[in-house]
Amino acid sequence: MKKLLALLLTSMLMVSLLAPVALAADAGFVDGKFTETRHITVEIFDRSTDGTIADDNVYTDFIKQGMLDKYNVEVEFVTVPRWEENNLIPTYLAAGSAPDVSYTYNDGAIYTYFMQDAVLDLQPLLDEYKDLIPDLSSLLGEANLTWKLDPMTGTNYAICARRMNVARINTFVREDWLKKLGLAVPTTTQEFEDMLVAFKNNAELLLGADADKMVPYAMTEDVGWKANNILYSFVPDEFTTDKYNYIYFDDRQFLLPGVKEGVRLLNKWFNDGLILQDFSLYAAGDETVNNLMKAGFVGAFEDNWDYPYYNGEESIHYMLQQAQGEDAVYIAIDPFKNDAGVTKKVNYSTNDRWIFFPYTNDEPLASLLYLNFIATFENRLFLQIGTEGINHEVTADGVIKSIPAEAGRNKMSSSNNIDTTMVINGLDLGDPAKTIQAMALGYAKVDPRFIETAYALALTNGVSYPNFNLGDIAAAEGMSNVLADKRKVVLNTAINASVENFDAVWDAGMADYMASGGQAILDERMAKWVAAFGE
Amino acid sequence: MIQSKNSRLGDAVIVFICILLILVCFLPVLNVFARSLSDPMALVCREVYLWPKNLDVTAYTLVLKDAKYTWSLGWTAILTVICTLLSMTMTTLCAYPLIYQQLKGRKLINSFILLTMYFNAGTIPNFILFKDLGLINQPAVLIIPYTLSVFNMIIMRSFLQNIPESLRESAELDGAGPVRILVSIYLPLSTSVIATLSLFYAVGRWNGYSDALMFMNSNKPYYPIQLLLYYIIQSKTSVDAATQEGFTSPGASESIKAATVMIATIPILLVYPWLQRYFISGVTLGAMKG
Repeated sequence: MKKLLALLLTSMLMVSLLAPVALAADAGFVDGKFTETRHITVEIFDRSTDGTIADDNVYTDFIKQGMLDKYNVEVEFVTVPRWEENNLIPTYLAAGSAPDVSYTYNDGAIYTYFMQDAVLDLQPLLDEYKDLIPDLSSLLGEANLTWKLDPMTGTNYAICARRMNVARINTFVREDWLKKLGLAVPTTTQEFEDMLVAFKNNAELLLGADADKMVPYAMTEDVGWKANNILYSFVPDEFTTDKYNYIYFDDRQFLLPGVKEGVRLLNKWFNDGLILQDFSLYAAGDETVNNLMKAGFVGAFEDNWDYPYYNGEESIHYMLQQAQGEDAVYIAIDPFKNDAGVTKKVNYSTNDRWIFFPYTNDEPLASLLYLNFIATFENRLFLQIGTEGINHEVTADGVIKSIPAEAGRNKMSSSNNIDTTMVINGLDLGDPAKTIQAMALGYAKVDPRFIETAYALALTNGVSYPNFNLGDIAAAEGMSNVLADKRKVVLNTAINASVENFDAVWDAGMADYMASGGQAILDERMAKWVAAFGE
Repeated sequence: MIQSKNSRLGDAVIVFICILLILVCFLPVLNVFARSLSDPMALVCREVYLWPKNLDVTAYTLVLKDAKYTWSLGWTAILTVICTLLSMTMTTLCAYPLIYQQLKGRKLINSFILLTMYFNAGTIPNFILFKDLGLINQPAVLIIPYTLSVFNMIIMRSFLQNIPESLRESAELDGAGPVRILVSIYLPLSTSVIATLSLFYAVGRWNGYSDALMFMNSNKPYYPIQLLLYYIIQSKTSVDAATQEGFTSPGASESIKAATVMIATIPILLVYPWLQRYFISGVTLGAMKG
């Protein structure tokens, strides 16, 4: 009996030791195709776009058929509401029902579950199958494939999708107001300020009966975003390197040296009546400030590089023209120079969503092949631009122009099918120049010249910081929301202070921010950087 | 009745506070109503407060023409009726035996039931449970898990306890069994609490969306109206998503949002006047003993 038990235990041990090996090699994959049909589930974001079904359309059919023909893999899509991924993905992971190929913007959640072995380590898979996924590797590049590769342990819990368009934030002003006042496009911070003063002093001329509604510069409580280019121009050029971007971690760049002087300028503008006086009341999602722009009361603002132009008949651009006439338009400008005289600004990095495989995924190879399939140029091209005559037309000079499709199976449920093409965010036609032309034509009701200018300026002197994965920052765990809220408090109270009180309010706010965990993160990041690269 | 100066002043203060409360509740509804009937441009220019400007019913026509909304409205109505009937049956059947003194282990049963009011497993365990029961993405997940509210059951039990026991005893002497006594004596005397609790259940189901969001998001035809509404509003306001992706998804216009809110709210508002006369006596009677 004892012998039998020993034999049983030994064989169990052997099986458990062999298990990881069995997972890695897939004997059923012969000559680029599975001998028996495999089945995988794949996540797809659902935005409930009118006239579309996220997981049942021409594009999902294309993928299903393509995967079946090419690899003998059956694909089943699982929808996750776009606005609820932060709640649903962790729930699915905890319940063991996450799709085999999943993605989210919330890398913190994946990491938490990875630490509990609920997410697969992708590095062994990527190493083993790298020859089978050439299109995925060439689209993402080494940087995005190993974005989450831990330098100490060699584990990698997520593949990073590629962001094609790194344009981030632009400054916009009313072109017609400049013309009416005979002003040139401002090229320095001082000229920009003079322009705001001119808007304020000429409110009657510009707005007539609505003169009291004049807002020279508009922002919301998210000052770090809504004045990002202004604030970044106060950062000395020597601090705009990879090192300081890594150490001063805040995603609105608010911790960098010099930002305080930028905020001081905003404080002065605020006290001079140049900034929307109740800006602090408007949180994310509040339409008030957008409506002020649409109605024609706002002279200048900063936001996403194409902010006024998106959304067709609902766009700021179109509504503004309806309210104030054809000439009333916002144009992008680029006046804010740093101490080196350069209009440096932060662009996005090339990272986008995080793609991961939950531990319940027993088809890792089929899952990787899925990613390779949608990364293949011809496949993603079709998914991004659809069918000629239905989703796009080709202009006389060969530029792809997207056209709104009728409701139904051909209509895309997201812009450029971003939700169906999880490995890429942003149009890619293969040729960058063609891509930009096509992008510029893709904005309904907007003259392409506005888009081209905005795109070019957003990239002018833009810095797209690379990723440095120097290991986890223990002090940052669970702090990101707390510190983001503190940042808002510091910026809002400082701008709302009187000019004399500014220093006191700012210093007190920063002291609180640093004491609440900010300093610990800075110190840890500094130590990590020094350990990796020296001073 | 002679009133002192002080008590008249007290009344005035109470009336004043009540009016304030009414305004606090009513004005936002009026504002949404006005927005739903206004020209979109007037909304943008912040000209709409309590009265529609440049009357425009396009938003309503657009929403009501969309089969998705009309079907969802109908389905939510059916769902509400089913849930209310089922919940009332279960609530009564749970509360009624608990008023019998001779029920063995009555205290224990009561404590077990009460325990579930204070301790809730939370979303993830519920998700796992429903998954194992095969309820995920089935319309039944909107009905079965919330069939019984302990809070409502306690109100019902207290109400039934307040009905004189002698009525029951005399019926028992006449040979009636527990079921007969429930149907012929207790239920006819409980119309007010039945009406009140039905309203609680109906409103809860009509307004509920989070269960559908968590447990049924892949089964679109059976979305309740509030979940559709949630999507419409979210898609417009999800700034996080816009910053993550570097672009913003187009969303519905403000007047369409307002019209959808009104369409989702009006049907359940219409139920209140019908049940109002039972309402106050129902809630307070239950509260007397508990």
